[in-house]
Amino acid sequence: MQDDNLIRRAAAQDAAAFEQLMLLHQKPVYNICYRMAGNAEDALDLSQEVFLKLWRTLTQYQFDAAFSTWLYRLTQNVCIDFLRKQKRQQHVSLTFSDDEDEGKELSVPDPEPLPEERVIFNEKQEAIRTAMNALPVDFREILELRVVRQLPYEQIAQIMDLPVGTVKSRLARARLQLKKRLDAGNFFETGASKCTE
Amino acid sequence: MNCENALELMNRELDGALTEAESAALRAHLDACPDCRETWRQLHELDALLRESELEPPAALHEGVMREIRQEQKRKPHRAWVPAAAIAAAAALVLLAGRAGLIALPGFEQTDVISVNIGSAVEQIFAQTGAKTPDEAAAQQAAELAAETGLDVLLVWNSGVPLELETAAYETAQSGARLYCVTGQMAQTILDEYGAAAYSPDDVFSDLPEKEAAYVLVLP
Ligand SMILES: [Zn+2]
Repeated sequence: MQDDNLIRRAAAQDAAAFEQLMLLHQKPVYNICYRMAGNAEDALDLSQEVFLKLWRTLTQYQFDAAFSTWLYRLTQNVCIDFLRKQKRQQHVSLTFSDDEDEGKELSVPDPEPLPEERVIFNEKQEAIRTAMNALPVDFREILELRVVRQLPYEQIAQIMDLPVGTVKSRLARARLQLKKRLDAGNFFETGASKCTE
Repeated sequence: MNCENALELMNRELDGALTEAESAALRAHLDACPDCRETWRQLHELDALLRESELEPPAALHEGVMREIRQEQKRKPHRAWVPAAAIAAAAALVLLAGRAGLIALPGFEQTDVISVNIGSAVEQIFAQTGAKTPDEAAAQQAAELAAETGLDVLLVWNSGVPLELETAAYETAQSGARLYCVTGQMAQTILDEYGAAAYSPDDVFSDLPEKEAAYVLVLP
């Protein structure tokens, strides 16, 4: 709610207000972009694009949904546009999971991590990052929105334009698929057997 | 409960979305099923690791965006529109003398004053484009309108009379609107001070401070 005043001023092209608004929201936006694009270089470009778009379209925000919902939808759309263009240019298959298919193809080629990315990641996190990049883009997005951002199901449903029931089931499948990919690489050291119903 | 049901509950537990009864049922299954216990442990570890893998945005993000915005504001200083509601509530309009000279404003006696009623022009633009709020299409139409009349229009969003104009002389229209004639420098100050959302058909605002005269219309 304390954002409202900043939003109004930023919408009236007050650059200083926009800067404050951006500082408040840049972390989630950057992380969603990182998750969806799969690397730091594209994440930076995409988040910049998101905030420039926000600057130009903020007057369209009507205070009817939560600002974060509006902003994350914008972020998601910028990322999906980018992935589609990348797919056209590189002839790489961009898979979205659907209810039957859990998406076997890589969504984006997994690029070499930039040097600055190496600093933060220990081995397990590196393994998570690689496994995440191998998931369909909507699995990566939903894991970011729910697990990292901790948004409620209803808000995720609005952002991704899905029924709440689908959010729950897709999230469950995303978690399982991430686990499955990591299992294959001896990620879990105890080596216990899997749940087989 | 079978393992499939348990898995569904585990997921919702991770999301903090279990009822107490469901939570108890899950615990009972986990106590009895080592496979699910292991799955449970792994899912928790994954969620925790995902949360920890959050990155800090690089400084280049914020710097790059702000650099672009400031450059854009210099190039096209005042292309944006304030929301229509804000205009209706309280607005100050700055009119600049255009290339074609001064035009008569309706309601004002002087015939050498610009005759564009900016308030209704804005409404008209919004009506024609169907836009609830100002947008690119509206800005485009305004650009055409201004080009036709040879008028450079500045729109300043403000609630009330700008402080700088409180002691200045003005003419009053029947509607109660006030018209001030100020220097280009003063118009620039008002723009800057009041977070002006304004519009220009071209880059003419870059030399606003050098202009001899500018008109400020404060609507009642
Ligand atoms: Zn079980």
